[in-house]
Amino acid sequence: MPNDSDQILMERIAGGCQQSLAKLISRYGALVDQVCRNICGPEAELAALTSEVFWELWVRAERFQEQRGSLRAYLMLIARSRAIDYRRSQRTRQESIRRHMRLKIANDCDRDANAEPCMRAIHDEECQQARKALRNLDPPQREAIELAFFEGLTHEQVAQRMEAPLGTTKSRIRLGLKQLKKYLDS
Amino acid sequence: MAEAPVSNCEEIQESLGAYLLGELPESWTDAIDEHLAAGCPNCNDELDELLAGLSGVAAVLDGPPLKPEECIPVQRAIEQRILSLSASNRAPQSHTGFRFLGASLYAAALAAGVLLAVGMMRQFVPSKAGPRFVARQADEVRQAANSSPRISFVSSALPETSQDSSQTILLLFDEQSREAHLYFRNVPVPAPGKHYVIVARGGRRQSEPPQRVYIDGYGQGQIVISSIEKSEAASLRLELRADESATNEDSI
Repeated sequence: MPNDSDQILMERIAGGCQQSLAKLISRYGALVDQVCRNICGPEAELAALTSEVFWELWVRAERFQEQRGSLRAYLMLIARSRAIDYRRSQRTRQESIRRHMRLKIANDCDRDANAEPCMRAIHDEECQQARKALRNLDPPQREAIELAFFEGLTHEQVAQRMEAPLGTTKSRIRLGLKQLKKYLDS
Repeated sequence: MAEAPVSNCEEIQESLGAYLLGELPESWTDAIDEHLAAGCPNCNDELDELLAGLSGVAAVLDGPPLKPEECIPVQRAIEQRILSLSASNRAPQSHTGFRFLGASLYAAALAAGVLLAVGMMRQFVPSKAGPRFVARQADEVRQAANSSPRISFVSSALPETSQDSSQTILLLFDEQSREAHLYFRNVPVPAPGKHYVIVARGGRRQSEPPQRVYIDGYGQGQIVISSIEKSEAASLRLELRADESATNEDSI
């Protein structure tokens, strides 16, 4: 396992190592920012939201178990949750939150020149494979996943948006994720 | 959704998507946690599959690693929160860029849930009699400060134009070191994650040297004014300005 693998860094963070947290902020800051940006819009307090997500990672580092999913997925779920909370609070305070976010997938894989070449290459490859896999999903599954994870809608909201029964929507998301895994494995 | 928690593998597997997204009632989540922890192979396999798929979704959204200067505002915000938890088991961290508060004072303020923030181009008038005095928070801070023999609460105030009671500035005084500690909380600044200059006027000396203060993503910041008397501290007027001299490296 590389010295700066996610798992190693998380173990160090659990021991109080801020340098390791800084590495993960660099590595996954763009992901967290993108999740929050998609859900809350570009006018949101993205820096504060990103800080909140990584703070939660810091506090809960000891509970992270990579064998129950990647850190990337873990961070995405935390970011989604915090972003939804933020959006909800903004909607409560003011009625001007935009309702429909245009999905923006970062297409450029122009990596930080300072990133380690090996890590960068792995990261780029994973990104491209994942995008390809998502494109290969059945359209309803893909749409359901995009609404749930890119726009931060709940299952019920996804069902309403897609005008589909709740049970069907749940199945689409679940089967879509499983199909995604199969594509990625292959 | 039924009130009764899920009870069999089929139901659990159908609920795992909502489980991962935190959309289930607590009783359902607990039941699934228990079921998974008991080692059900089929449900654990199903969860692993979903998590692997989720990792793929996250990879789609992932972008280039942040540049160092893009990371520092986040790091600074977290550093401040780590400091606020100095009573926890985590090792103390070193900091640069601005002066941090003494541990006992910090603990006193933060035990009361006091965070730090600041406003821009506004004047603050710490005064017990001020019309925008935040009594609830002031009481909390006073109570926390009173638990320390060397710390005394002086005053709190809000930005003059603010109607938001969470936007507070707090002034504590360290009797031993003769330092005034100013905490700013939740006052919006146009550009969080940057340095600002704070000018304090009032008291016998009329004008304190300007100090730089870092405002994080939560609008938190703090400064310490040394060698000042308590009565002087109580009459300070504060003005926050953008730090025109800040370079990119400074303002991150």
